[in-house]
Amino acid sequence: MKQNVAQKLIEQHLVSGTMEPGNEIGLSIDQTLTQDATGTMVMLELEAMGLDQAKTEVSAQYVDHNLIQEDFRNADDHLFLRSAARRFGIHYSRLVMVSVTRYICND
Amino acid sequence: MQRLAKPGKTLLGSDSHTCANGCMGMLAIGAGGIDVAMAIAGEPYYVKMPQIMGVKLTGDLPDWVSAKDVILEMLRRHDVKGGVGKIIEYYGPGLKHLSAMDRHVIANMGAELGATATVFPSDKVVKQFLKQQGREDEWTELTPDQGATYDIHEEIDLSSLEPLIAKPSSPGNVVPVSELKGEPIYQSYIGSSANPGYRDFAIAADIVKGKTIAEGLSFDINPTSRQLLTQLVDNGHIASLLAAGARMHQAGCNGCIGMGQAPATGRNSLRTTPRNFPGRSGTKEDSVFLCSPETAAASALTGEITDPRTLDMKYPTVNEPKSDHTDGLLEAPPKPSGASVELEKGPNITSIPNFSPIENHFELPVLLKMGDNISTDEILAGGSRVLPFRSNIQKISTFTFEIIDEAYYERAMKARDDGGHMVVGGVNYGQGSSREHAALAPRYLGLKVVLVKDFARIHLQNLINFGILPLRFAHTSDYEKIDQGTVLSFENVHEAIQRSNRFDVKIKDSDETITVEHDLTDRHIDIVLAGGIINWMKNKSNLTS
Repeated sequence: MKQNVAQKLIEQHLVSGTMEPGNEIGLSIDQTLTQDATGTMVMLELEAMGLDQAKTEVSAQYVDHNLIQEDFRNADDHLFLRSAARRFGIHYSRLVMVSVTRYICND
Repeated sequence: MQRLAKPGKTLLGSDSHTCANGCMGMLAIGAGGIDVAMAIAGEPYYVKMPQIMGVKLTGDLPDWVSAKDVILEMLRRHDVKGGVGKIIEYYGPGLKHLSAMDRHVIANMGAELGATATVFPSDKVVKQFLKQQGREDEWTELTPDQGATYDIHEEIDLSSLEPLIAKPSSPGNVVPVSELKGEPIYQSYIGSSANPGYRDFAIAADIVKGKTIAEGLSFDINPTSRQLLTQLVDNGHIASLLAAGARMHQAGCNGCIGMGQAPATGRNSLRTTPRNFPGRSGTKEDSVFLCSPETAAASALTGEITDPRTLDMKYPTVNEPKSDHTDGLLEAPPKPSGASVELEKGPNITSIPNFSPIENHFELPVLLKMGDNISTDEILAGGSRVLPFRSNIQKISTFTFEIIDEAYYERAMKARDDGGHMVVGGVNYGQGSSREHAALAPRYLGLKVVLVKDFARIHLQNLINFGILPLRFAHTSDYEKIDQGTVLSFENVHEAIQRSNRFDVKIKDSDETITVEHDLTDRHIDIVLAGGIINWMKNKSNLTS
């Protein structure tokens, strides 16, 4: 069957279900990104699951949302995220950037 | 150094603008935190197979019209729900005129169309971008087959577009800039994930170079990254912006997510950002317009909304830097494993408590009976009073349902050690924000069952993920049989939910029963019975290790 780009990407990552609109499909995930506003909960969830090491090809944690340090909370979150990234095998971006863009811009 | 975005790969991110990476020939999807945690742990991501909308691009963009106007045209045509349940794929001869960063602008705001993802092919333009990054060897071609078809067809002639602008307070409220000509503005804002490229800042700098912005105007520059900022400094663009009267801010999301640069009361703010929902700027009654960098810069010079085509100047040509700085901003994790790394938890960061699996027989008091359309904001408020406790479940749970009933928290804490409780609601329960804490916080307080007329989709998933049994009234009239304080008896729940999507529940101290129903899949049932997805994942890891 002649395929468009979206169909090719889905077929190459399909682990369950059929590619008919509306059906639930399972997709294998090669890469992940998290940012600091949502990442702390993700890292706490990984801790609760007892994960040893990220199973993805590459995962990255960015710090670009909660940049205002009017008290200790955001700064503490960033230190926590760095330690969690090191624990779980995730790349950590030092205080910079708009996560989605960094992702494609940088190596 | 590690190399990240790669054509042909899938990317799941806990940021709704993760979809921007579709510009690289990737399937990039924004999702909830727990979905991303599961992906990091190696689990698949489950989603309904979308329809594929093919958007054929022809022609080339006229001067003063750029990628932002392309996505604003899509929003003008399809509005903020037009992409729901769809992947939007761009193809056609017009593509060769759009750089990888132009495509990023378009893919980024696929989120505003509500699309599951936006996909561009991986072609020579992507190859050129990777070459610029010193990563040409990572390029693989990914293009549609000759004769490939789409579920839905759309076409845009780029040469027919004009500068567009989204009026307050929705990205779908799009009109030509010329229609708003002369409307006074207070702020012009350049930056964010929706216009993140070198050219987006350089073109604004070239437009204002050697001139001065209008008096009384706040011209705010928010660089995308330190890398980009360095390039803009190297090429003199920051000097052009500052000399014209711009204010420089640190690299980051900043005002786009309401972190600073909130506009003055009742004054118009023009932004190159992706969203202008009410109050997002940090000013309650705000008036935010979304536009291209060309329109924002032109308007900064005049102090009023200005079609950039009417400026008395030649359209500047931006030359992209030949090579990108690779300055080690990404920190690689230790090899082979960081297992010994201690998690650094400040006083506001606490581990997620262990939740026990749901019992087979139990009785639950109804601690809250609610009406229709209860939003996740009412279940657990957002805002600066509550959000700082996002990593502290014990503390954030004290705010649960406070908008509806301030005494709920105390009642729930009392019932917690006696086996927990349930709540009852009407239709569209859990609408609004996707925040997981709206399930996690009441779960911590002992919420085991939510019984409603029907659920909003994302909150339903969050309840399942945190081990709360989501049930509906089979007969909506049964809603009337239950009051706050009513106790329901659940018998043989494990067997009942696996055997059928309907079962009966007794009202204690009466002869009455009510019929409840669910449409949980086998995977959902396993997750709920395990006490949530974290337990489910732990059990799975134990089985395989």
